[in-house]
Amino acid sequence: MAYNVLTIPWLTLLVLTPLVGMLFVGLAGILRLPDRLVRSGAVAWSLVPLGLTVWMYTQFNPQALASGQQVVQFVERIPWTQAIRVEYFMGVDGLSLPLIMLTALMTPIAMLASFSVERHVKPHYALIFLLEAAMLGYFVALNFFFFFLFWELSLVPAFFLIQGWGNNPEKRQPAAFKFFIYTLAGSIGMLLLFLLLYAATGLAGHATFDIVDLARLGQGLATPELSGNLQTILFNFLDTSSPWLTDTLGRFPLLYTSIAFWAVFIAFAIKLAIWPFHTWLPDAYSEAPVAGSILLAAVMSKMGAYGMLRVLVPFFPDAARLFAPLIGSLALVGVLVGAFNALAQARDPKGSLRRLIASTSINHMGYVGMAVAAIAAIGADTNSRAIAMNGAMAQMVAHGLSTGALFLLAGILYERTGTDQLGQLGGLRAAMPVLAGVMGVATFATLGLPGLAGFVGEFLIMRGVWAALPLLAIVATIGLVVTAMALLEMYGRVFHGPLPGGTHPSDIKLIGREFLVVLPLIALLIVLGIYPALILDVSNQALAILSR
Amino acid sequence: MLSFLQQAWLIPLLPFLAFVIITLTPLRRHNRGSALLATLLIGVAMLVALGLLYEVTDGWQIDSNGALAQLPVNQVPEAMGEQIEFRTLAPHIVRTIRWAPAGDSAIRLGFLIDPAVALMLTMVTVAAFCIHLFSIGYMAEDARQARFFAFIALFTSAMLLMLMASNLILLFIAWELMGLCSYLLIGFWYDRDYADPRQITPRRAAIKAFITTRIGDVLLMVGLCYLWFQAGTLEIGNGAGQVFHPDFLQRIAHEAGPFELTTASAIALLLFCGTVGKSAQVPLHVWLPDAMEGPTPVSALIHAATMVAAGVFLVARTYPLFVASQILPLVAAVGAFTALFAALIAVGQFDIKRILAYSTLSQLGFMVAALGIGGWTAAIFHLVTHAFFKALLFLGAGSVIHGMYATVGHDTNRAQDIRNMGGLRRFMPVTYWTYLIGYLALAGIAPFAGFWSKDEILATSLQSGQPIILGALLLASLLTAFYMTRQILLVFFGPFRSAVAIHYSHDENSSQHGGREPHESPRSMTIPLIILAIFALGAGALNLPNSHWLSHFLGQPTHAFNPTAALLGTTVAVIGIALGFALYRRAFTAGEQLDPLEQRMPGVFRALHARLYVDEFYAASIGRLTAVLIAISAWVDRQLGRGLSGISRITAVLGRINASMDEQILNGGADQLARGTTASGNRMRQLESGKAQDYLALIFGGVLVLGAVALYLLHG
Amino acid sequence: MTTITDAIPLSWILVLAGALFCIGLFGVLTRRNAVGVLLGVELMLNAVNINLIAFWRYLEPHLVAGQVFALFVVVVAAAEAAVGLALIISLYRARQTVNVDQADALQG
Repeated sequence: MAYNVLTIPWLTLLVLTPLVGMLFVGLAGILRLPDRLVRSGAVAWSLVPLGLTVWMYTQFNPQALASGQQVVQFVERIPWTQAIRVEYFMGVDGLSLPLIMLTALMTPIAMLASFSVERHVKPHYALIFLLEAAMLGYFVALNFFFFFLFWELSLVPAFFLIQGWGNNPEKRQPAAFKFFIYTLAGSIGMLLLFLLLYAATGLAGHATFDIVDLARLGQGLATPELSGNLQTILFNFLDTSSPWLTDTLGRFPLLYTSIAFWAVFIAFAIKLAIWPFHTWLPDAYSEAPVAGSILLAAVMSKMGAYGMLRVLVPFFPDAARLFAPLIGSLALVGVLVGAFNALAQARDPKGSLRRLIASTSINHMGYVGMAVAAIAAIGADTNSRAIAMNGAMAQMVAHGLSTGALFLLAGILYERTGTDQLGQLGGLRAAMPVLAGVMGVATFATLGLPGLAGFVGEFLIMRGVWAALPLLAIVATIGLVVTAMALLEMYGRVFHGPLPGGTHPSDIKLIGREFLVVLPLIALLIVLGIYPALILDVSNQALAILSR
Repeated sequence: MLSFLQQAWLIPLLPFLAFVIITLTPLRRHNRGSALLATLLIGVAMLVALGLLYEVTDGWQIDSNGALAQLPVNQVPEAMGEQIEFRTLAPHIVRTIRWAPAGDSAIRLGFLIDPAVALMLTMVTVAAFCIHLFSIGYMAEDARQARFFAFIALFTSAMLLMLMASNLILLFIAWELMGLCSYLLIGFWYDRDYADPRQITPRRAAIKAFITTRIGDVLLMVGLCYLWFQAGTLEIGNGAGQVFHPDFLQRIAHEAGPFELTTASAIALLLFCGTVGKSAQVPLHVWLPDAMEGPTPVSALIHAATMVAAGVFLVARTYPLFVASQILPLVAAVGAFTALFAALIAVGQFDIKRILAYSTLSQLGFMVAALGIGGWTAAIFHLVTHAFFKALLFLGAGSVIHGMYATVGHDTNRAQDIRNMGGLRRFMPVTYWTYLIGYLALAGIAPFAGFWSKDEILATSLQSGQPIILGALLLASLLTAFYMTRQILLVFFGPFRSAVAIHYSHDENSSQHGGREPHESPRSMTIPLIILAIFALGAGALNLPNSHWLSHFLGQPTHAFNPTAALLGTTVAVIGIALGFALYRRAFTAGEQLDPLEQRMPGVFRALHARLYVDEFYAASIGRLTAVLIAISAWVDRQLGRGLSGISRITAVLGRINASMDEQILNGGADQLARGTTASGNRMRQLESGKAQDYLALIFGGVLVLGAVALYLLHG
Repeated sequence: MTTITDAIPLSWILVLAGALFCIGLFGVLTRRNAVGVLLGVELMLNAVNINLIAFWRYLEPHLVAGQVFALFVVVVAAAEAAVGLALIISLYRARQTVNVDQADALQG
């Protein structure tokens, strides 16, 4: 029975459904169907991938283990281009499943949120579908070729979403370019490195792009075709193919692994917006249309963290251990800079609500970066690492939900009031009580209030980081306080404080559709805050094993 | 029977249910209904808690399999010497569920009942019930009543959950939820503004409270991380795999931690930071007086009786760690300093609620100091009695303010200023008598509850041989009696002075209600006062010197009655009362505008009135530092942006070089080639005239050329 | 007995034939009138005929190949003249002229 079920290519279906949705939207464009129909149709169709992921969640077996690693499930493995040994290899494990679910959940929400888009509705929805497909593909691809393909593919719709539907016609173009160029430039190192690894494993006997195999090699475990350590394999290759290089720089395997490590790290750090690679983020988040900022903040930034956990740490454990304090410090600087920038926005009458949320995003992704450092660091015991990883996972999901909700609500506010300058907002609690309430929940979830999802991640990360890099954990608490201050001052200004000049119109209350959009996010924030095992049970096993 | 122990989870759940129902159902538009629902549910929770206390007193115990046992009544020896003794009791019931996986193990949360918890549950539910009841009357005219009751129910639920948490993580969760409710309730009148822009508004006070306590909270969180890392668990208890396991305590007591502290000291210090924030000890005390911007029942429940005591409870809960550490003297010092410092400031305040707030600070300092010198039972005892009499005083103050509204209108600045009051005992007899009981309890006059508990703290400090602590506490007691006498004289005695123009008040237009005489509050407000007055009068019976019921109940060593301490305490209280009486008997009469103390020591009084400039100091130091850090971080970002635009400029220059290369060499060359090809083609096509004769001529020309080549080049 | 082969050297005859060929070629290349061109072609053919006969007589008199070739050329020239004249007539019919300068339909 189960076997039959598993032979259906679920993951391919999952990635293809949004693409089919895109075709449908295109078809609707040809048939000149009304925009209203396209909107609701797109939302309805986007529930299909969500349903698929929920089904996978119920079928997923978090306890499945084989040869010391968690079994990748729902595997599809088809030889694709034999000449360069590219396989169509897709699978899901505890690391990717929560993120897939997050992606599939945030897409309908982003679509519902962009009902207010009036211009070029069909391309807008088509691009959202494309973005979803790319992100889903990225999370399930286990061969570098497809991994990289989806990684780069996700840039395209995001770029066009920012450029085409951004709020400020003067700023959106530079923001989109900055975002695109930055990410693209960062990924060059990763591409080159994988080509190098391909050549190196080729010399060792079996060239491969297989991420699972490479990760096993990175940790010194044998694969069916290869044995040995990735570091040695890499060094042997360089030594053989370019002796002048090893002669010049010295015969230190770790040196070359470190270079490789940084090549990949920068790619993921840009996506995750680790300081100092974060400068694209405030512009991109605040200029993007509401769907764009929701998907960018909620899901795309997680692609960086996922990459770190999937590729960076397993491939180069030695280099990661070596640089963990440095990465942790960079992440810590991000935590502090994000927090203080958020506070600066909150105190500046010209401060922008969305820039503030973007800054807290930098702060929160800094915690994830710290967790990655803790996972890699030398001082941590296995359990602490597993806890840090769980924390990173919880933080990613919670941040996706809470920041998604905040951007959604900021978008609604912008729509109603025509501004997101904090100095021009005020006293909205009376005019929009429900929005004030849900925004309150999202705000408190963002500042890590226990009982809401944000706390779980922060606490577990702190616990994990404490074991490895206690000093960083202590200093990071400043970030916790300052973010709270920024968010509360923002909230007070927007909802409690007096409105500068006049009152709000009374017809700006949330409408049913908007409430419906934000409701699942709020509900999930509360549910995951009260019972985080729903997510952590899925990932814990994979993460615990990864952390050995 | 024995359902109460099993059903203890109902205690926090019932108020939470009230919160959920009021928030999510149409009841939220129904003020009276939501008030009644919240009060009813907390009443039921109180009954469960009372039943629970009864069962715990009886010694019933349920183990993890559900088996029942009855413990013998605790027989404890009398305390000997200066050694701090503390015994962790076996819990009467523990029930947990799996909350989250954490690597190889799992985090389990649940509830745990032991005698201290049962006692605290009873205290909190009783106080909360009285305050709910009081609020029905006090908040009757507020349009956002439903919201108020939802939040206060949520708060009660969080407080109860914190008390019974079986795991320090759950304790911390509830701890922070209380902070949230405190924020929401302080800022309850979020749209209120004052004429004086320097006066703190409720919304700013709320943020201040949340952030100040959060400073302590994040350090507590780090402390919990540290403890978890060391112990591998955060489960409360002294069994294997729990935080108070003797072997573990033994290990961390001697293991070197950071900064030349032992590990135990470092952990305890971080945990104590949480206490300093939540229980508003110096230096994080600044939020509590401003928290008085919230409605008065909130001040009574959260900022006097329960939440602020959570910090004390935290230390009491994790006391084995503190005993294993070396920081108890620090705890004692912080507590004693706060007790004295806050009592001093209270002398210089005119706002009836702020005086009580500083008094709360001071009393919390007593409790913390008691913990610091090993008086665990004394601290818990004082916590319980203080909760009752301070809740009573706050509700009494609320009743006074409610009565004052009739005269001065809904202007909190005027209604809360004790210089506007006087002679209220004639208008509000019930309030007066109950307030008097609270006053005597706080001042530490036998036989009121405060006397017994304060006496026990003084006795402990006497016994522990710490003269500085003892001196500070005695001085604080004296000041307490003094400022409370000042308050009660100004509020209830003398002539009613609301007509006196007060130079501290700002708002001249008294609003809708004003102009009438103050009146006694409705019965829903006076009944809770009476209930609490009974407790304030009788709670001292818990641990009378002859029975030591509380010590036995909590399983801690008893102290013999110390007549010296009782004598000292009573003496200073009487001196304080006498001083206050002497100074304030005729204050603000006969057109006097200045406080008698201000007349005698103007500089000192002004400093006290300005709260010893702590807020100003923080604004100038930490506030400035934050602004600088903001500027630095913005500057760093700008520099990064500039660096980035530098890179992009370099890229642009490279691009221009590249473009010119393309243009000049590659592109130009190709163009030239193409142009040449075209030109030569054009020239060539001239040959093709289409005339056969021309072709023929070409053919012959070609033949000639080829012939010449053949002749002279190939064969020549 | 002195024969013509002794009296006149072969080169003289070849020069004559070359001159005749050149005259014909000149006519072909310069005449505007198509008939003139045709006449020029005839001259060139006959120059070739002279060569054929001359080589036969001077070099291999015991064979008849030269004469046969010459006869062939005469016959072909006659046919060619007939075809050429027919072409000229059809050209004239199409264009009302026999000026070859205007018959430039070959130009692309």
